[in-house]
Amino acid sequence: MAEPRYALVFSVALALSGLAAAADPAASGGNGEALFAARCGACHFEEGMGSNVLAKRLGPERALLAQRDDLNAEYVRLVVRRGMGMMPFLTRVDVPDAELEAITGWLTRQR
Amino acid sequence: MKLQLPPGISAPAFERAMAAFRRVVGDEWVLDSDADRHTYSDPYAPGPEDEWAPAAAVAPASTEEVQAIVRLANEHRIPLWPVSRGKNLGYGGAAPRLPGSVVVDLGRMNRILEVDEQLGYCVIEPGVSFYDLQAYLDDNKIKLWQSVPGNGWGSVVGNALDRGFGYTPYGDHTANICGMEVVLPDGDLIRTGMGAIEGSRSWHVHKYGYGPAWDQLFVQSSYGIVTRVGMWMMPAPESSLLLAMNPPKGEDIGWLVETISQLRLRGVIDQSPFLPCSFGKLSLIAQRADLHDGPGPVPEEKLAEFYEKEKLGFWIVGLRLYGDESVTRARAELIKKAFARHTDMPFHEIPWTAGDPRPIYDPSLAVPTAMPLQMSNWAGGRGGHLSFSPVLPATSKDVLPQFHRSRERYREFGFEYYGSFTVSGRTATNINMIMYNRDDADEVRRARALFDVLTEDAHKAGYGEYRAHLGWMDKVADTFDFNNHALRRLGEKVKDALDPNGILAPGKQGIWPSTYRSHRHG
Repeated sequence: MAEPRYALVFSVALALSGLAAAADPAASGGNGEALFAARCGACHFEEGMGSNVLAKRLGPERALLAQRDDLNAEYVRLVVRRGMGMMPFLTRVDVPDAELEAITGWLTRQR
Repeated sequence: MKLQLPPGISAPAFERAMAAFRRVVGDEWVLDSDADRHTYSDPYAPGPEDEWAPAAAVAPASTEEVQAIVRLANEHRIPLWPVSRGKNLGYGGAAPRLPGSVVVDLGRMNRILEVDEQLGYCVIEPGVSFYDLQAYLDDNKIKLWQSVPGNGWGSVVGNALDRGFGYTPYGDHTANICGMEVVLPDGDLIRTGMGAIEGSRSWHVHKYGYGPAWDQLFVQSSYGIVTRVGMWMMPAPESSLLLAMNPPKGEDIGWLVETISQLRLRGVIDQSPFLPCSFGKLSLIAQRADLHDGPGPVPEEKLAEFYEKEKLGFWIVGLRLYGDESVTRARAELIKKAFARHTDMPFHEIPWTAGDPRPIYDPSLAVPTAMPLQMSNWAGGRGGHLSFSPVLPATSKDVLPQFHRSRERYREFGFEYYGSFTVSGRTATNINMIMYNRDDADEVRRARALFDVLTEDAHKAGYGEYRAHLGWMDKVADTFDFNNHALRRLGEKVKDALDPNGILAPGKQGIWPSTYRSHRHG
């Protein structure tokens, strides 16, 4: 039996409080990093729901998507459009195809 | 997801309708591929996703485009299912009640039209999420707080239209609605309340207008597509104080609800406190497999052992006071005095002052979060959840039997009990979460059976739900049965008068237009 990771979930979460204000992709030129922050950051930055779930599944060192160097573009597209585990899928209104390509490009930049 | 056509519509007729929609919104915003259909299904569906299958989605960018779509839907006899952002997770997401309906996704209509800091309101379109609104408030340094629910990803307007609630004194989100713009089922456009005056300056400060007030007609309803709403907001408080404790026994919920109800009625507390059982916290930080290797739910004694070790108690009580510090301190003393009649357990007091951080795990400080959705990970696999939510009088003689009965039913059907009570003065809304692994067919079957029996039990005891997942919209409507369902008959008379072709959200909350009435319970 794995030990629940309480600390990650219940440590004081400051990272998100200013996130949305800094995450307008239009203001940042619509680049992948800004789009990731705007469309995915609420769940996939530090202390977000997605990061907490990934920390539990893969370990804290692989919880933050923005720091991963093992993501594959096709895999990212698939998870966004098909969902994964308890992560709901996103529509093309939530994240249009062009935005998804920019996000995917940025997430896979380290490969 | 394969195409399921609307009832009685041929494939060529459907294609003609899609072509007509494309001429309104452009090719890009008619979403009718198999992959698109999947993204508009229920992500937490308790069963196959095609049980509530969308045929397509269309995403207008303006009220005029909504009007054009509605007129075309009448012409082509296409049933529509409007969603604000489609994130009504646990209640069906964006998926329609009638398979083959076309989802009208209002997510592109995401303008924040006005925020009035002095009078405390905003005017927004349905595509604005709680995160979007927070970003606007932060960017513009506006000293207003929104009230947030458990899913900040969702729509501010959509949540209020489905009678969602949050955790601040503005937590009754429907009550914050003041003035709407609505496209009627024939494509006509109205503005409610004072907004019915051309150039009105008091649309969003006075709720009733002149003559009958219509706003509630468009809440949990299929009588129109709401394209703009005024929402009242709370002036940012200068300070706040949280009083927290963890009462140890399940039976404590009786005196807790009664005590808080009386404090709320007397104005000592002005939020509607949310009292979850400790399993709610456990389900966020762990999965069943962390505590239990065997089949079935985690045994009660193992849960009790865990709560003891973590000093969690049975219930989590957090009473938050807002405003001037001298006033919150005085109110805190009255609360402590009232609680001392039932327990010698002290409150843990956590003060907050304007400028301090507002952590995302505490929605009573009005910061959008999606963290509560983590509970869907409890059972593992493709997780999902349902919410069973009867409304009770805030008395121990109502709350205690409901608590005991539901807890036993959870065990009987193989689930850990996860109940909560939100006390808003005279009522205690008893939200019960059922989490399941969508890949486990037996668990999904048991979750559905549990929902059915909880609905029947509550009905026998004289209670009904305030909101329901697509799969139970008819069953819950059945329980509102005075005078042979007279209220539903009225709802359907109004439906047929306003929407003679039955194109708008057929089956929403159990109200079926005559054109599709044979699909009730289908």
